Amino acid sequence: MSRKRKKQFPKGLSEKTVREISKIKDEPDWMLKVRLEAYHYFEDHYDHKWGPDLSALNFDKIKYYAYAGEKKNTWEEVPSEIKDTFDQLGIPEVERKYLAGLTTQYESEAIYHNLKERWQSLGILFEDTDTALKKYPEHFKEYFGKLIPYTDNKFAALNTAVWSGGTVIYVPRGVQLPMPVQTYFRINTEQMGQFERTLIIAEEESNIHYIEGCTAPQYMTNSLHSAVVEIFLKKTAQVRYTTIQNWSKNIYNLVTKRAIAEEKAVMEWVDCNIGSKVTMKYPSVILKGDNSKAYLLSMNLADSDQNIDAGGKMLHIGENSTSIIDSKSISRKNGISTYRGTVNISEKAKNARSFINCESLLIDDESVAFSYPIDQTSNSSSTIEHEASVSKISRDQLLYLQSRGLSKREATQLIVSGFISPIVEQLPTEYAIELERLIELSNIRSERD
Amino acid sequence: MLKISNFSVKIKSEDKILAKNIDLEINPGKVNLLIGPNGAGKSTLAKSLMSDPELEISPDSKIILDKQNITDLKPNKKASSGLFVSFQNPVEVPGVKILDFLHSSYNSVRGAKDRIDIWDILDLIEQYSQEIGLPDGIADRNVNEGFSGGEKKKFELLQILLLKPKYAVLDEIDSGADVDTIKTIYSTVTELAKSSNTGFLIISHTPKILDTLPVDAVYLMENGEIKKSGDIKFAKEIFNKGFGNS
Repeated sequence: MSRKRKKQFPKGLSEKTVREISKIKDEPDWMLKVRLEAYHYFEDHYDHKWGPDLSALNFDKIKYYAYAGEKKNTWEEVPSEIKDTFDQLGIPEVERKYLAGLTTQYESEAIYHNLKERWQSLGILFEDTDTALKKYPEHFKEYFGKLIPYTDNKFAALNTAVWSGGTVIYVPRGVQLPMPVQTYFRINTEQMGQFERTLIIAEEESNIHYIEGCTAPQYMTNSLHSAVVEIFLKKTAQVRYTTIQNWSKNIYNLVTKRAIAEEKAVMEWVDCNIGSKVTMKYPSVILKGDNSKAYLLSMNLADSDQNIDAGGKMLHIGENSTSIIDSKSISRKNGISTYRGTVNISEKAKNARSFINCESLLIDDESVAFSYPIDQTSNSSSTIEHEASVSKISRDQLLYLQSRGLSKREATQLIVSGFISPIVEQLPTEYAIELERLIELSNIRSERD
Repeated sequence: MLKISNFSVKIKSEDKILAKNIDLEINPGKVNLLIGPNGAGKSTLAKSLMSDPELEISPDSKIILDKQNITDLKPNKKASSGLFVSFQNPVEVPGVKILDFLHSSYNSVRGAKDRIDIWDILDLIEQYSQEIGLPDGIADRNVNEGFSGGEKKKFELLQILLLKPKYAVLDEIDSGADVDTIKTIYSTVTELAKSSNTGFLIISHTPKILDTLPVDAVYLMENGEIKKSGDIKFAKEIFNKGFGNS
């Protein structure tokens, strides 16, 4: 270990990069082997044939790891729009530094330890993924990559090759957690990873709500965020996974999320995307068990120069399984929002039902919305209902609200808030309020342009 | 006085004039009736008074509200100056809570003098709703969403009670409403004219209105023009003969 380290982890991706990351972490051999396999898969599957244009993404200019204590961003580098938003949201100084990527530690360790102790007393394991690999190697191996193998897609392969950080949660049988578990610095003192890897295992009759991300914008000079999230729900387990994604507008956000639900288990994805330059994210559920249920609430705001390609996948295998997809997207200026969803009911899934509702709201003449739904069923006892609508903010609605004293901006804001309210109502209050405020801010900005 | 003069309207980028050289005077505390057949241009007039962006008014048109020229003001500024227009079909605004809407609306229109908080507006909504027979908990519902015809009209009435405009133009305020609702609407209009000195322009095409609503003046509109005006007797004659035979 006396070898002198470079001060900065070099940019670019090679087999050496992958070996170096694994070495720094002092990982077991099997993990290095998986990483290398994934890396080669990634290299061999370079072309991405559908969805948003990713050709501007240069994998050689990205950093795949950062040494502890490596020089971070400076406040001067942070875009003024982000600083402005921090002001508007009233984000405290320490949090700003964290969100702007100036520090990786947020001084809330006392609260964090308190909560962690409480969870531990319930038997819940809550660790960052690197620590979990060290502490519970066997358990880890049993689940890691089992739901999303690196062969799933190019970015799952990339994540598997270079992953760092993330969260592992294990909820034992019968444990129900009354409050949501939040990453974001309120709890997580680890680095908000660029290639994080999250694993949640919910045993029988357990119940947990996990919240990822935050409403305030997060800035990172590196332009790629590519995470993998795998969730295992045993019989009758219930998991809700809420994401509020507000990456700065230079980020490609390419994430793979999947859950598998055993008998009578209930999986809920609440997925809100307001940031990033390009997002591709399709949270999925494999409804394996009989009477399993899955919900996906997807809310996407594509503002100027943003391309948000989101939706989900529901794969029905269990009998009487039910899935619901409720997608609401908003496009403003030249923003592009796309719903891309698949519902597949297999032959075995007798009496399965699926309801899909996709609504798009266009704020002005330049904005664009697309929808690419695939609904398939392979047995005659199952049903899929699909509703879709695209609407422009109606002149009549605007005139009505304006004639009652609201300015055009206030009227637009109210209509947009109303449109997304079924999803916002599912968020914890503080997130809901901040989200409303953010949409208001983007409203004000777009009026100023 | 609300004085509408030399007022002409057409749809933007079209040639056809829908309302031509309209002159109307609405005095405070008076109830005026504008009648005419379907397609006479009554609703166009109502919308253009509120600056519907799809309509274009001619350069000579004028709207003077208590000596203030409000012709070219934006709809929200017209509202703040004391004008209220209830459109024929109040539109649904999905997901928007009435409480939030009326809170913003109240503070925008009346806020300069008496800004109120959400609890006070809730009290007012409940009080007025009870008076006009809107169901309990209306504040928690969404704007016009799933409302019956009668509820929509009563909701318009609720807004007039809250916003206390100086002049209110009500387009087909009685359509789609049942007998009891119509009675409530007319008695509230009469009461507001008396107690708050509100000047009304009621737009209708049904003679029934004359049985229950005492009016001070009547205007007949046909083919985009005000043809004649007179008192209640004049209105009854027109309805008896049928439009177009006057």
